[in-house]
Amino acid sequence: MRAVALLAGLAVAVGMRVVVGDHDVARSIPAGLVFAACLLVLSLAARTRVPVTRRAVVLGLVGVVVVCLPVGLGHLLALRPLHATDGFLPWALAVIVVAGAEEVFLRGTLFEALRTPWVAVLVSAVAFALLHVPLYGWQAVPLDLAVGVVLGGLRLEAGTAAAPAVTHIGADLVGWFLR
Amino acid sequence: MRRRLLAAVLLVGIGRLLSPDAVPVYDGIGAPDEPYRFVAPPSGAKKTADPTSARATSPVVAGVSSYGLSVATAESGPQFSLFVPPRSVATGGPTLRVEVAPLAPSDQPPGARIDGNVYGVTLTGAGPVTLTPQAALATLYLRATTAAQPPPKMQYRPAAADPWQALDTARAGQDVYVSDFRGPGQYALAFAASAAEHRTSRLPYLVGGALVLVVVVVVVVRLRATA
Repeated sequence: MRAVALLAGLAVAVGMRVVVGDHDVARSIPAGLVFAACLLVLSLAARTRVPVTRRAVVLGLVGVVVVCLPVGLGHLLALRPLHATDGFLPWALAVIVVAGAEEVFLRGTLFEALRTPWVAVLVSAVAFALLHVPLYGWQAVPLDLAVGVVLGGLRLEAGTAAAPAVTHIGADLVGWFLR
Repeated sequence: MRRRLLAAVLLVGIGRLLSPDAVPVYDGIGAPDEPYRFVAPPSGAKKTADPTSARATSPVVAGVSSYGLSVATAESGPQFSLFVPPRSVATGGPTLRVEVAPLAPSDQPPGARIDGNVYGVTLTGAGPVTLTPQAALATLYLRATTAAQPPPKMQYRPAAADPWQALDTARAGQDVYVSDFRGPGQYALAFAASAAEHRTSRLPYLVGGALVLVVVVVVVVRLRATA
């Protein structure tokens, strides 16, 4: 029941993001921040705790390599130059907030509400993939689903959402340069 | 541990192969493009560098282009991209040359207003240049100056003296549109001149969303208390 309520809350958060972002929702920082605020409110209501341990941070950094390796190799083989840093800082700050909030909610709050580990990994990965559809379209679902499963695996391995949060934030920041 | 890592890399690799065009950003704030570079900037446009040209070549073997051609201008993201499969262009050898150059709009399509630059595409070989049936797979992308909706339509004309014709156009990104490649000539995006942007107030949706969120929060707190 709690998981259903949380998923309903996630749907509302995605809807709010779409409304605020209007026709440029994927690049709208205000829309991303509204979305993050909704998720954090839900996580606070559920009293989610995210212990940060050294093991979680190390696992998260390993996750960055895992998630970025296939994309980075493709970039390298295509001999594409790395993207310039103009405009990186404000974008990066917003990304840290939004990616962090997503992980606290999906791999923290929702994960704990689901209890059965494999169900938690699966449901959080599907939710992760679907919440990106209004931003990037259905074409991004296979990649986001795969990354969602890896992030769920990290959560299981580390015992805290801190590990997938480090991976998610790190991969997003690296993603800037792999455009 | 090593096996699990390998499995994770494989999983992401498969996901990447199945989502070849997906941006490698997993949270959802897409990295911003640089401001649109105009040949003839409208008043109030940001000062930018000049828009770029692009070119590519393919060897001609047995009378057709033997390489696939990928031509994109150098802005971030590219304002013009063209993908032409191998054997799509028939011409004399030894080389087919594709050149793309941005132009200022000189006239408007009927009932529409050109958005951004016009892009002139030339194909040069030894002798006449024609498209083969393989060229039906060729695609051309243009970035609009805005992601405003309703979307613009791609316009094409073989030469500057010809009338513009609207092409079937699909949205390929927030402000990127794709259409079939019709051959050398001029391409541009154009919004309907009469189409005032359809805007409704977002406030009722935001207030409604906030109320539903409050209800969900109350439910979550109550369930937590009874757990």
